[in-house]
Amino acid sequence: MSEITYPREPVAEKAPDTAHHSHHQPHDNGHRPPWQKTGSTLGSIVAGGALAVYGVTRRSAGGAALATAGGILAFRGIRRASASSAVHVERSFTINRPVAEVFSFFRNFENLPRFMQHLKEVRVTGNRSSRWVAHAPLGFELEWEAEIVEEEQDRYLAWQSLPGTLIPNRGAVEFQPASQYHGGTEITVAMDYAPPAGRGGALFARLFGREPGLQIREDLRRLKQLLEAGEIATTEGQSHGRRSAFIRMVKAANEPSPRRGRPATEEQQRVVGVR
Amino acid sequence: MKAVCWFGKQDMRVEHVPDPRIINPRDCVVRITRSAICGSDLHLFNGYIPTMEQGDIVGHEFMGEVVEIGPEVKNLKVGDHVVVPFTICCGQCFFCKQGMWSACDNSNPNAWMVEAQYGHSSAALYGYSHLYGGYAGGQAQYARVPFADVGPIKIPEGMDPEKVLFLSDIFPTGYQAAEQCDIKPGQVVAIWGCGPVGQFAIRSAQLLGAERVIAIDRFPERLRLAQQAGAEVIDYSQTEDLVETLKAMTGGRGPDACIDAVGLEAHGHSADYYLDSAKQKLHLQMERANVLRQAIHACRKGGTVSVPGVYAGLIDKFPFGAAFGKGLTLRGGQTHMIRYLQPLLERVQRGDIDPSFLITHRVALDDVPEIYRTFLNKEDHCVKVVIDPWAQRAA
Repeated sequence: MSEITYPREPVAEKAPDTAHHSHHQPHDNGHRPPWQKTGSTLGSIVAGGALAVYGVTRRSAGGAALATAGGILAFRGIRRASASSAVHVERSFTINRPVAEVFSFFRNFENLPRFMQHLKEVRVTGNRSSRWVAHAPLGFELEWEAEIVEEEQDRYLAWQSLPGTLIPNRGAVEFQPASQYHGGTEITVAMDYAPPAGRGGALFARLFGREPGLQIREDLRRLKQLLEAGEIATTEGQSHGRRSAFIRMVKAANEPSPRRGRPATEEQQRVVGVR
Repeated sequence: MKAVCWFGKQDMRVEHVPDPRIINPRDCVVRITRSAICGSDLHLFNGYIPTMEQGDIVGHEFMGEVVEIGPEVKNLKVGDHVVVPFTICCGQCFFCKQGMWSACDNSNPNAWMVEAQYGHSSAALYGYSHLYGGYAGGQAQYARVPFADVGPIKIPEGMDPEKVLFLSDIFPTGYQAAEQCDIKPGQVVAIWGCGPVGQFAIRSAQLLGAERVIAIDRFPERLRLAQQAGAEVIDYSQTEDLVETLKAMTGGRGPDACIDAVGLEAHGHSADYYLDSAKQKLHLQMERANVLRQAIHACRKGGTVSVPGVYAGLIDKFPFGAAFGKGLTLRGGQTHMIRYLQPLLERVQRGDIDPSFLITHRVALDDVPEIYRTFLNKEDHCVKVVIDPWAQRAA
């Protein structure tokens, strides 16, 4: 299994403020995507990686904080650099609710399956740790542990999967107040998935299809609907007359996979290499 | 229940389908007491609106009695009589909060489709293609009403349903078309199309202070209705040069404001009409935009062209040079329904206007497929069809 090649080390529960703010630029240049805030891509990877390595070697609280900051710096750089080999998706939306409300809703990862369609369940297992279950094709499920690697109240949130997952992944969200005229919150979500080696690769391709960006866009649209309107607009389950055979076929093919067929057996999962 | 379903070009059928039910917490279900066929339904009937699916329930002008309420709808109760506006609005997004109701961010489950076509998506509509959300419509016995705490307006007991039914679309739509002209006392407003929206635009322009309204159509019964309201009328089929005629009627200035209440299936006898028709037949172009072009040519310098007529795609030979050169203001868009429901209901209650003047045909659901054809061909002096979904079919 291939692992995303960015440094990750246990994160200090409460890192000093310097680690939190050193890589944020002032808010007034806020309309660039999150990774650009740290300057050049290559510079970020090199500097961040070096910082992380140095931090890890210190084996102290300060060192851990340094390692975290470096790791995130590298992460933000790598996000763009690795876009060709991994799946990188990123979208912005404006949600007409206060920043604090949007942040706290998102920070409780157990809310994510309410608007992220590929997730079946997320269970928060600690202050920074959580266990994720995602729908995979043919009724399979993918499970992994994740950990919050950076958090700045009402501002920024980053998490990543722990080693041992089939598809290493990570995500980052930035929250900003929208313009005074519009009000509400501008939210930018970036997510990365690394392709697994071997037979998992085919599964990976099926999971993300040709346009992985569409999924996060629709996820964010659902988040917006949920927070603004309190519900997600749908016509599923409404009445209609007889559909043509063609439409019935298309609808059946687009049914989310968990509803089709039975869940995979443990034996099947082992063969495909899930878990 | 019985419902009118779209099955293809010029193919509407009455089907037996399951009764609608509450799906989301802010839904309600109404037992429909009256419904209507809109001129824009003819665009569906003729197959000009993409993303219709066989079996879709049509209709977006309806009223009814609340029979079931979702847990989050606090302002309605079972038994309330409501008129349902044709745009579906969440009431909570930036646009709804600003009163730009028809630009609602959250009501269209297929927003991505519209974004691909228009850049951004607007409010969903009932029974008007999957592009506009794919919600089941109201030419049926029951309908599910999403965000029922925002759209529907309660009708005081004892009011004649035929006087309030058109609050669901055409009265507010005609009214917004006139309001968008920013009419000043003494101004002249020309209105293309004396169908239902045009008739309400005529009366609304008068209510808003227009000194003269000039109404343009070719059907005698429609021109007569316009005349009855006090409009001057032009039968364009008997007119050599409409723009010159309008100039002659306004001391050479042209009308201060022009309203295109026709839309993408315009008729006419100008060269551009024949060109558009040919291109439409060859599927090279969706719209026949000769009325819009004409309105831009006729409008006085610095005037306003207001467009309640429906356009959906790209228009060839759009005379933007004229619009620019004369410094025109162009306004259009779906109606911000919720702005107008209460004030227009009050106008009906005060007797400023009785919208039922329009109704020429009253039918049962089973008659609907046939009456679409009558309405399309303007046979039998058909101007406006009202449906009683519980009536027995006329023998």
